[in-house]
Amino acid sequence: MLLDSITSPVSHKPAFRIAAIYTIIGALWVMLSDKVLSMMVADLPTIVALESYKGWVFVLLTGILIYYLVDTQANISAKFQQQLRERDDELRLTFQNAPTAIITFDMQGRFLSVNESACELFGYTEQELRGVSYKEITHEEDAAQSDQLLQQCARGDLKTYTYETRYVHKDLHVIHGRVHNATVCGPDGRPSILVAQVEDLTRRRKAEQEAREHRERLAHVDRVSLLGEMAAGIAHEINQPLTAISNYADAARRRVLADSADPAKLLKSLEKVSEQAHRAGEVIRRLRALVKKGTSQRDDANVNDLLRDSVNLAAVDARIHDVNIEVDFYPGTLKVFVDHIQIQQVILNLLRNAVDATESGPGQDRTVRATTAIVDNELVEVSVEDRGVGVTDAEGEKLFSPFFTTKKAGMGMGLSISHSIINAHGGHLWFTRNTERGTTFHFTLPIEPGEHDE
Amino acid sequence: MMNNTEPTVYVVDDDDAVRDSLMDLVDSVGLKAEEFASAQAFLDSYDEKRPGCLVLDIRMPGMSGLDLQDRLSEVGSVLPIIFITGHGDVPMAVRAMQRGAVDFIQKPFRDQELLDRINIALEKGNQSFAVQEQAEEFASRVGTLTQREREVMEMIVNGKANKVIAIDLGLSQRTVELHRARVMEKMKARTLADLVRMATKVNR
Repeated sequence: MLLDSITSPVSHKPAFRIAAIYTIIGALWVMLSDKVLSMMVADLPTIVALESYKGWVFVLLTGILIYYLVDTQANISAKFQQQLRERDDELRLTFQNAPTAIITFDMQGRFLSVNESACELFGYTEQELRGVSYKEITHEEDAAQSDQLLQQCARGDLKTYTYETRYVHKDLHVIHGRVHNATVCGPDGRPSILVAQVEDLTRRRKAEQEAREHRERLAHVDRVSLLGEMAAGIAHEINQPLTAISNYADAARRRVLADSADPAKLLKSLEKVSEQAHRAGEVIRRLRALVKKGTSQRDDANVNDLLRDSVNLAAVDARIHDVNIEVDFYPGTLKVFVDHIQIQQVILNLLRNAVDATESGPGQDRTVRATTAIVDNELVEVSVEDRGVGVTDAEGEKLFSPFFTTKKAGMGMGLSISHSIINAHGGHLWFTRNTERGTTFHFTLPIEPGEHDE
Repeated sequence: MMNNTEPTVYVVDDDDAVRDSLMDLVDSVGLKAEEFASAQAFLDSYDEKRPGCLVLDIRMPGMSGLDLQDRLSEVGSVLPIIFITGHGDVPMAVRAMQRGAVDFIQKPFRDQELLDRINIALEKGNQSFAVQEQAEEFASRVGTLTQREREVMEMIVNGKANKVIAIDLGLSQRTVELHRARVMEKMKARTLADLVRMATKVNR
C-alpha cells in the first residue's frame, strides 16, 4: 500500500550521536585521566594502586552514559513510531472512509490501491482490482480519451487535470464520473503515482436523462394535441392535392375515351397527377415527423426553412379562421444546431396562439407577422406578432406555467413546453406588448458561428 | 366577338393545382373555360354580357367566394354559381344556396358530378342570359317612349280602360287611343298580352 512506504527520515542519526559521545568521552579519558589523577594524588604507590581501578571506573561511567543515551533515544523513537502510527491510521481512515472514490494508479494505469467508496462505485473488491488496468473497467467509447490523458501525464506534461468519463460497473451498468487526477513524483523526479478522485455523476446524469425524457414525452403530447387543433386545416391541405389528382386523372380518362386524345395534354395531366401525389406525400411527411415519438436529435438547420415549413402547416388553419400569416425572412442563411421537430413545434405553438388571439381580437387587421433576424451577431431571433387583446399583468406572470390557458380548448401546455424546449437549446423565450395592439412572442437560438451570409 | 357568346366556365380558386386541374377537366369535355386565381381578379375582368357559369372556391384569402357572390348580386349578375367546398364547410354552403347559388359540391368529388352540375348551370345561365337579354331589349324599347306614352302604357298594363285613363290623365279618349297605338308599335307588341309580358320582364 501507498502508506506503507512512509518511513522515519531520522533513523540513522541517534546511533551516530551515541558513537560520537562515546568516542569524545573515551578520548578525553585517555588524554586527561592520568593528569587529573596525578594532580589529585601525590603519593606514587597510591597512584599505581588507583591506576588499576581507573579502567573499571571508565567502564562503569561509559556504561551509565550509554544506558542513558540509548534509553533516551529509544523513548524518542517509540514516541515517533507512535505518532507515525497515529498519522498512518488517520490517513488510512480518511482514505478508506472518504465519501469520494479515491484510487491510486501506477503510470501504466494499473490499480495500486482503492478505497471503500471506489470499491462500492465499481462493484469490485480491492483484491480484484489490484494490478488490473483501469481500461478493464472504462467504457469502451471513453478509453481512448483516458489513455491519451494518462500518456500526457506520464510524460510530465500534465500534473493535475479533471475530465468526465464513463466506467462499467461489475454488474455491467454504466457509471458516469468526473475524475480529478494528480500525479506524485518519485525520487527520480518523474511521475510515479497517479491519485484519482472519482465523483459519481451517475445519479445526476440519470436525473438529467429522466428530465429530458419527461420533456420529450410532454412535447410529444403537445404536438399531438397541436395537430388535433389544426386538424381541419390539415385535412384541407391533404384534400387539395387529392382533388387535383382526381380531376387530372378524370380529365385524362375522358380524353382517352373521346378518342381524340392530344398526347401533349394527356402527358401534362399525368405529370400533374404525379406532382400532386408528391405534394400530398409531403404534407404527410411533415405530419409524420411531428407526431413521431422519438428521442431528441439535433442537426444543422436554417431557421428560415424551419419557419417556412411551420407556416405552411399553420397557414391553412389560419385561413379557416380568416387570419393571414405574413412572413419576413432574414435575407440569408440562419444556421443553428437544433432538434428540427422541437423548434418547429415551438414556432407552430406561437403561430397557433397568434392566430387564435388575432381571430378573437378586436381589430380589422387580421394579420399575424412572423420575422427572423440576427441579434448581436450571435443569436437568431424569431418573433411572432399578433393583433389580439394583449396579455394582462396577471396572465403574463403565469403565461409560461404548465396548464395555464386563456383558451376554451387547449391544455395550456404549449408555451410551457416551448419555454423548456428553447431553454434546453440555450435560447430564451419571452414576450413584449405591442405599442398599438396585441403581443409579440420572441425566442432566440445561438447561431452556429461563421455561417450566416449577408 | 362571336366567341363571347359561347358560354364559358369561369374557374375561380386560389389553389394553383386545384384550379389547373379543374381547367383540365372542363377542357377534356370540350367546354370553354377561363381561370382566375382570386375573386378580385374575376370581378375586375367580369363582363355581364358574356354567358356562362362560375365554379367558385368558397374559401379564399382576401375576397371569399361568398363575398364575390354578394358583389355579383349587387351588380345584378345572373351568372349561376357552383360552389366548391371543403370538408366541414356545409354551413357556409347552405348560406350560399340560400342566397341563390345553383349548387355546391364537396371536395374531392367525382368528375361526372361536377360536369353534370356545370351543364345544368350553363343551361340555366343560358336561359337567364336570354331572359336578361330580352329584358334589356324590352327596356331599350321602353326607352324610346315619351313620358306621356310611358304613363299610358303603365295604366294599360295595370288593366285600366281607355276611358278611365283619359279621365285620370285629363286627356280626350281619342288622344289616349293614339298614344296606345304608338306604345304598341314602339314596343313591337301585337296583343295586349304581349305588352303585359314585356312590361313585367322589364320591371323585374
